[in-house]
Amino acid sequence: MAVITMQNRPNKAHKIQPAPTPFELAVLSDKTQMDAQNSAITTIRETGKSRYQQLGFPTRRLEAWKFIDLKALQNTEFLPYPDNLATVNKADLAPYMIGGNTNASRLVFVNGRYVDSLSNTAGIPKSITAISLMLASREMPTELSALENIFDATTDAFAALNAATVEDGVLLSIPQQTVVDKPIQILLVSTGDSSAPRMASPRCLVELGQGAKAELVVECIGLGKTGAVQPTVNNTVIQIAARPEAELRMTLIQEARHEATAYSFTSTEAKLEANSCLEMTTVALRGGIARHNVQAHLLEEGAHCTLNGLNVLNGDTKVHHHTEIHHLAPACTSEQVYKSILEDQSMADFDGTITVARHAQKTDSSQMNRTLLLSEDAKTYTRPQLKIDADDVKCAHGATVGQLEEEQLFYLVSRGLNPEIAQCLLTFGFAEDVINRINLPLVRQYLESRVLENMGQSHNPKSCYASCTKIEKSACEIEG
Amino acid sequence: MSEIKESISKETVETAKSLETYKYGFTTDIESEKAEKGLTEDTVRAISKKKQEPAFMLEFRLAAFRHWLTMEEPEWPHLEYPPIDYQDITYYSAPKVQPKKESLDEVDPELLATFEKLGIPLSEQKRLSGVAVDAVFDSVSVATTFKKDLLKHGVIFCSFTEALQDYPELVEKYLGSVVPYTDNYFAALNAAVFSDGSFVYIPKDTTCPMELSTYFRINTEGSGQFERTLIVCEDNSYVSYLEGCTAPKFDTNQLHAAVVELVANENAEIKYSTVQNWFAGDPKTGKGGIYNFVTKRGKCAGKKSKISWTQVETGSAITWKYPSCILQGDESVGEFYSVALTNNLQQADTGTKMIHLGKNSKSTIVSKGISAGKSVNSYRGLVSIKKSAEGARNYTQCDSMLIGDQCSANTYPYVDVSNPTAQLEHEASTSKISEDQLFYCNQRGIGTEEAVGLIINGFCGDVFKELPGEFAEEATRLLGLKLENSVG
Repeated sequence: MAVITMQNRPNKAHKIQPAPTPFELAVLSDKTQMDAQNSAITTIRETGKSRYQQLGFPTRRLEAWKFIDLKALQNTEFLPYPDNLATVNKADLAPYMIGGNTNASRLVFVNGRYVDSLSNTAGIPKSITAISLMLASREMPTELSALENIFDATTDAFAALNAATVEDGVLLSIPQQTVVDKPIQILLVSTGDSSAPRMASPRCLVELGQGAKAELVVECIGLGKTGAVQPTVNNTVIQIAARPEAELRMTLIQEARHEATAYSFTSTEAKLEANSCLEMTTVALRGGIARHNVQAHLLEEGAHCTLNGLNVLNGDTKVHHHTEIHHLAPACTSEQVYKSILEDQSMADFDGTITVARHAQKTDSSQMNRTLLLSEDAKTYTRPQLKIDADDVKCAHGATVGQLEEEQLFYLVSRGLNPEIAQCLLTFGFAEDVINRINLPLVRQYLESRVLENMGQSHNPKSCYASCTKIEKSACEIEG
Repeated sequence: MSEIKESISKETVETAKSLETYKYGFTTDIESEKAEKGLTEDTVRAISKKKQEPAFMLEFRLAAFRHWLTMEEPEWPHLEYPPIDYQDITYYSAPKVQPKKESLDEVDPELLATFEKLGIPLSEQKRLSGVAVDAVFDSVSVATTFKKDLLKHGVIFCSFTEALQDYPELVEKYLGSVVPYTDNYFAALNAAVFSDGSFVYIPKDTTCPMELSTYFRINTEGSGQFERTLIVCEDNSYVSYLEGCTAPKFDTNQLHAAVVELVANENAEIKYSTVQNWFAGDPKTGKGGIYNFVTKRGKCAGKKSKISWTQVETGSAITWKYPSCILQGDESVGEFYSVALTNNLQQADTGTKMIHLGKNSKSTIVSKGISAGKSVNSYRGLVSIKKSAEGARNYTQCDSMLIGDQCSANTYPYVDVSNPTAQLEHEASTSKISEDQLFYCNQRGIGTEEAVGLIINGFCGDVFKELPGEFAEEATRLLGLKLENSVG
């Protein structure tokens, strides 16, 4: 019998470069000749492409992609949307009007491209730059390139892919000391297509000058018009540069109503300078497979970052949150509250890391992930992680998984509520804890209604209330 | 008052002196029977032949070795060390004095003297503490005490080699049932080449009349030690097992890849405690420390069974260790209490896995990590609630303390839940010894070193109270020693 020794042991270190998958072949195929005037966007694409080639397709062997099954995606040829597919009209967007106000400031992108007729920029102060990336690339290429250069080479393969395939997006620049008190909405709509799998790659660049303040609502929406039976990918990148004392409040809502498999990837990267502040809430609703990657870099003293998240999932929706908060300077603070309500076969994955650099003393950071499992088939994975290299810091993290508390239910039932509605109220209250952390009442109310829409019949306080008896209704009113 | 203070400072000076060099860093001059360096199938066959093992054992070793060849050394831990040359290790060494002994008088006096230096005089221990000590001196057991007393109760406590001769059917039944040789790189290596270890069998309805204990020692230079421990607790039985380690100082890194398997059947309870204080390497260069890659896992096979791990990890250059529980039985309980202290250039990546399969299974994790100097201390854990684990419950608390601004503390807790009736809580915090606390103590005449000791003991209190009496005392002393000169 042949003796196996260390010498003839197969060498595992030598890895063969995998052949490009159908997905890669399709999305990275050379585009038609670039517009010479559009050199800025061409640079973004080239940088993105070479970065993607370095990173490669994320496999499940990577910890950050461990629970995401992208086999089907890898074997699908996703193509860019053709020019003339925009079949979205104002009525389709009616459910997405904040406060029902059709005149609110709004930038609408359909399948990755800016649509002027659906947008409303009249309310945006003139001092603010809010233009499509295409236009910015032509009219202010130096500014665009300068803004792009603030960000390091991405570590996220899909963010690199976004750059490699970007066609349009938004450049939003708020000059110093400018305060925008009404929310600006960025609607990134994808329609899907019946003829081929499609991928859209919108890219949003947001810059806040010193002392500027703004409130953004970014929505990644799969409209799911009938007939769109082919899979879709909505791959969004948001890059935020906040100068000293700037404040950005942002709500990111993701929902896919497509009939076929919908993949939603968002990658948000924030660079926060001295005493600046980012408060971001990511809300994932129904549909498909989604991954939200948020990376915040607290670059200078006193920067603050809040990342909150809410998943209200049903069906076989799978949502992955990957967050990284890097404390790179002394006396920065950060907090995170992520909550999930899981029904049916849905799945939520939270993978959050806080790193504290050696000199980032006096860091104060907290992280909390809570999950409510409402169905036998729902699943959750949570990985709240800390990497600390400084000693004078306060870092805490926590996670809970479970059902509603018996005692709380008993309290409500003992006051005359029927058990179903008590359960609904508590479930909604669980979600509301995240919603209530949002500053603007207008955005809060909008989000409440969007969340309620997404809750299954059996856990929805609204539908439960409708089926209550008169006495039970009055009990509800007393209890609020 | 001054008298107290004087005695305290005197003690400090003495302990500080003893800390200057590794306290247990001496070697015993006993001729070892060494195998040639290197690892092939022939090495594995030679080990098995030398130990006159039954055929199934050779099969097991060879299967493990072949599987090991197909595996890669894990890269995921937060550890940095030069590549290990597995061909540069002696896989078998045993003291030459081999014949079995009935009493301690027959044991090599030099060997006994070594134990004296270690502070575990067998003769004393036998009388005073009522602990049966199976002293593993460099891979082969040379003295087993209290064996006869234990046998009266039906308890088997012997070396693995003896177990293979006397109870092969028991070993065959349970060996690899909790940690299969396919489990991981180091477990596969251990399964192929393990030299000896301990075997414990507690029959039905038996409470082991005393605490069982093994002191490990690594001796011969360049010889990796591959221990294997198997503890089986039948229905309605109980055993408490203590493991303490010290090792002599050497310049070449010593690889240690042990495997511990526990099986608890219905209503049985196993309590496994460890104090680990192997040589951590030169404080300045990190040279010479032990590489400790250990796989420890228990299976709560029966209903209402319980396995409790308690560990105090203070030594080794590298600690890679995740004592885990598979909670298979309904209402089974798994516990993990850990203190991991790293100083100078030590690296520890340690934690636990609780795999919930049984209904209403419960687990508790309390982990305290202390990092000082330039060390890196990571907690890595997994709580997995499988679909069948109706009503499972977990509580996790992992706290880190950083001493000085050159060290790191990392926490990587994974929680996977597939059953909605599960209740899980995870908490973690990071802190330091505050100026206020030190000031408070100083004000009352307690020196800074002592104050640090007090605070650390408070920080670790939840874990120390789980240790058996004499171990708790040893652990408290150990932490104080290890942390001296790291504050202020």
